[in-house]
Amino acid sequence: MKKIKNENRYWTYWYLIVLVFLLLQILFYNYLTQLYQ
Amino acid sequence: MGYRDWTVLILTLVIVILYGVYKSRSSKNLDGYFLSNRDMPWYLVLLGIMGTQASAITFLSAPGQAYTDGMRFVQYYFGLPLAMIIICIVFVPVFSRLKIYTAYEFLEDRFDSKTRTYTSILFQISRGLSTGISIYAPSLILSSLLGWNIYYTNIIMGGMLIIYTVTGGARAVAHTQKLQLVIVLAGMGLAAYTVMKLLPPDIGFSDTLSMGGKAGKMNIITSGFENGKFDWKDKYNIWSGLLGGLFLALSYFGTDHSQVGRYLTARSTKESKLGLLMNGLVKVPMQFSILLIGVMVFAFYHFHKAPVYFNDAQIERARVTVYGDDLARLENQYALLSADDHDAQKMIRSEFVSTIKKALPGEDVNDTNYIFLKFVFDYLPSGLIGLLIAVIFLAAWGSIAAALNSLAACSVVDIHKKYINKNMTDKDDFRVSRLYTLFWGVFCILVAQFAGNLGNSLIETVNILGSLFYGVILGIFLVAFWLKYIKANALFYSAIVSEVLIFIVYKADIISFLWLNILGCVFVIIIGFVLQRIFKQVNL
Repeated sequence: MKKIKNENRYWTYWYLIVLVFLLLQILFYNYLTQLYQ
Repeated sequence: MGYRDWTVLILTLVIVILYGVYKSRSSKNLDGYFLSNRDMPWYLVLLGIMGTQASAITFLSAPGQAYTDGMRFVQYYFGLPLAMIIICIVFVPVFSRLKIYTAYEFLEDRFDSKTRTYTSILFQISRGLSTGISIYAPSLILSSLLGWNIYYTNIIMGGMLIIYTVTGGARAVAHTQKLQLVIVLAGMGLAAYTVMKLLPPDIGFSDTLSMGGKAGKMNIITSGFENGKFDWKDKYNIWSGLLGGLFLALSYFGTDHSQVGRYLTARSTKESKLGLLMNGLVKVPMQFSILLIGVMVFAFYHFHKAPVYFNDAQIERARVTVYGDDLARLENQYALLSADDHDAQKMIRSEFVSTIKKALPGEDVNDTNYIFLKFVFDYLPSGLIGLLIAVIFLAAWGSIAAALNSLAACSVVDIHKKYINKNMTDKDDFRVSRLYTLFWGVFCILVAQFAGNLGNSLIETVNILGSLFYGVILGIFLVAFWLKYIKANALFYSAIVSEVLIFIVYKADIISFLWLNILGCVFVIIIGFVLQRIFKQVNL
């Protein structure tokens, strides 16, 4: 049970990393769009 | 092309083929041939996924797309990381648990064999045709720019990889994709570095972005709203990218066996998931970097006069028509302009394009796909030109090899072993699998030979073809995973009706193709619900 819980947490962190990285990229690209208009 | 370019080109291609044949050792059964005995680490799964998705068209068209339309094409990939997460949560655990050979085997487990066969056939039609275009598109560009015969170029583009794909199956495909991707990325990196070196010494990277920005090329994020109204026909904006891109990536990575087949080769569920998530991290920055090369080339042509039209072969064909004199006059006028007279250049260029259109009626007069390679031939040093042509071949081979392997897997597992010969030994499996790989290789080359004129952008043609089928296939899978209410018969007939409806909507040209992915999926679900209710009432 504990192993499954740890594994779920491990993948949740991964999913969060992917999501946050996508969000940061969109924000960065939006900044570049504004900067180089 | 000089001898140095030829040497680099031939040497690179031969090394990749030999490496593929060397890595061909695998067990002579279905597990070994189609799934590499399920022993791949995550980084090979990642490179396989990336090498399968990034075809030659990706590397040829993308810089040209940024040059003409700006960077906004990158938004098309925003849905991909989200799709990777959903696939890791929903698709991968089921596929791993069932130990399937093709994605469509799962549908028999959930519904019935006719749904599995129908979906597998839809995949084989769409993938077979789009792989043919993946061969034809780069061949057409190379043959136009280098004066090669298109039919022979098609044969080399689609034929040489058959050697290692037939002999080595999934293992050879994965290992060559690793080598191919390294060479492709190194080649593109060198090209970007050379563009920067060719700019005047006082012009830095930030200056190139400023120049691109002033000309509207740095439109990375766009909202799709014009005058307060959302434009449904606008192809690339953040909403179509996030939503349409999510559905397209979900269908492509979750239900297209050329991709599913890559992560089924992983040695465990963990390795599959890691490969997919890493793809979610690196894909958008990679595509952004390739598009950025287009902006750099744009900045380069700010200081050097750009060709009046990038497709030389088309100019030559137009020159021998009655419009030859008009073209010559326009070329003379263009030659007299200085490099910084951009407005006058733009005017003459648009007149030149419309004259070519009149001279060659029915031909596509969009030179987007020729921009990057024309620049490579005109300005890059000898040796690097050969390497970049090799890059085009290798990028094409990576995706074509994976497609052939997956098409053969579906033909053998979903059709041959189910309907033609149910009692095959491991040896028979291996022999028939090789024959089907060869068959699909020849089929795709034949499609390439008959591909003809393809419309606006080659990358778009492939995406449109995918969007026509993917939505429906994804709808079938989503019903399979989440909507237990809908049973086999209702789903099967709803999938057929939905496919017909998608073709009608596409023909009516009312929305951009990216939305077809969502629409196909929604059709399958809604019609499936309605049919299930009806079937329940009449006890079918």
